[in-house]
Amino acid sequence: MSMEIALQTFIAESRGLLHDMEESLLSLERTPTDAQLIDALFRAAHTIKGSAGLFGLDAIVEFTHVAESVLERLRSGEIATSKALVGVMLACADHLAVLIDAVADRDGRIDAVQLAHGHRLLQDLQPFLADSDAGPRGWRVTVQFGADVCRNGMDPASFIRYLAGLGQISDLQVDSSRLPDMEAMDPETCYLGFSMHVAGVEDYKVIEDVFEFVREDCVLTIEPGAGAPENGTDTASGGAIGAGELSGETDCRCHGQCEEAGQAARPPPQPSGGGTRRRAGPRRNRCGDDAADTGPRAGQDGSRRGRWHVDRRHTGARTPAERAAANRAGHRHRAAHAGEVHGVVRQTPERSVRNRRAGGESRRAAD
Amino acid sequence: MINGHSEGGTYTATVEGELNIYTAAESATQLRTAIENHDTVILDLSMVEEIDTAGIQLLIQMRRTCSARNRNLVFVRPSPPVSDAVRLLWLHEFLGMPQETDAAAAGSEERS
Repeated sequence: MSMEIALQTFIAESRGLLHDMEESLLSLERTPTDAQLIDALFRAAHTIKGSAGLFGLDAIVEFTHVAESVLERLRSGEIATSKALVGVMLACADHLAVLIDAVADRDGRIDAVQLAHGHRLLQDLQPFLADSDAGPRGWRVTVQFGADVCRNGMDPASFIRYLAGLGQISDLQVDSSRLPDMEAMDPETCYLGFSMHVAGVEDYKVIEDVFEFVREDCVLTIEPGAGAPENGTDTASGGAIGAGELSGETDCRCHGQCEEAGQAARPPPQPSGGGTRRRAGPRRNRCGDDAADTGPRAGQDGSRRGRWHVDRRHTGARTPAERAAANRAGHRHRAAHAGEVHGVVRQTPERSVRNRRAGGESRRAAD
Repeated sequence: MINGHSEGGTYTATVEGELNIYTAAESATQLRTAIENHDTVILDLSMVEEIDTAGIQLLIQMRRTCSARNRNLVFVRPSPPVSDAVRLLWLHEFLGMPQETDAAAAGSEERS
């Protein structure tokens, strides 16, 4: 078998393996502990690396080696499956496909953009290679709150305040790009989103838990941070108000690294609006998955009250649960009235609970 | 609750008590009218006892509207809850509230 034919075989096989990897990764989102899937992922990466080595394709070997190391840790149980991990791995598989295409079409040459993209992915893999790295590098947390979150008795700022008690928040940007003109604005609707760097929290689940209470009323994204913010103070203090760029970035569902980053369709403000979750990646759409199983939390505050003590002590503010209760009592008539004015069916908490449950189930079915 | 008065083209108001989801609708109506009818709006926030995201959102909206319409908008004497929320959300520059609120508050007290 000539070298050329062997190379063509490698290319075809690798593409097949990458396709399988992608399928496995997407399945892994649903069954995060499936050892067979994890094993298949590891072996695919291992095979690509080994074969690439035979052809002296060093760029592919080096890149795959890092991804394989992460998968090895996943296989041995040193790290657990997370959406962040699945997202990075999907991006890695995409990048490997680019590298393979380059071998097929251009003698393995890739351009500067692709090269830089590869470097960035390698950086993104670092948190999964050493536990201690995630802390200092931190996380980029983006959260877009649902329109009714305040009306449902929760205060978005209180979640950020709580998070600020667990880690160090920097480079916080308020995304008010959805905020309409004063005439069109409904003061009780939440239009705001927030993006921030969170350091000093090792496990992203800690961050996820902060927003658990509002999980169905927000779209939460947690990605491995890019280290120290480059221009923290400048962008943070108002620079990002109404920044279309911010929403452009956060809209992209492929880790902010694909070419469509700037033009991707904006996700619906309410996560219940759905849309395909094929490439959830490191973006964390908390409305999906097991939401229907656990149900909304607003009424189940008893067991959770302790979590909000920090919030309460420092600010004297009501806990989200207390606000929710107070809102139900005093706010319902206004919410119902507002629905008529704007032609949007505003939901009382009771109704929204039902609808969300239904929504959760249909989303799950769609998955 | 917002108590304000007009003098020439200037509207001066004190926000008292809550500036949050419970008062947002009412506050927005008042402030909207104030912005429409005055060149300058001065909002004293020293009596705000509680502010939440809805309140902050309203301040952001005011700032944006006034910038767009060339109105002067000044937030003065933010109370501790306001300062706290503004600091938390890194909005001091955008809203035009100095971070050293104690000094600013002391300064305006001397003047008044």
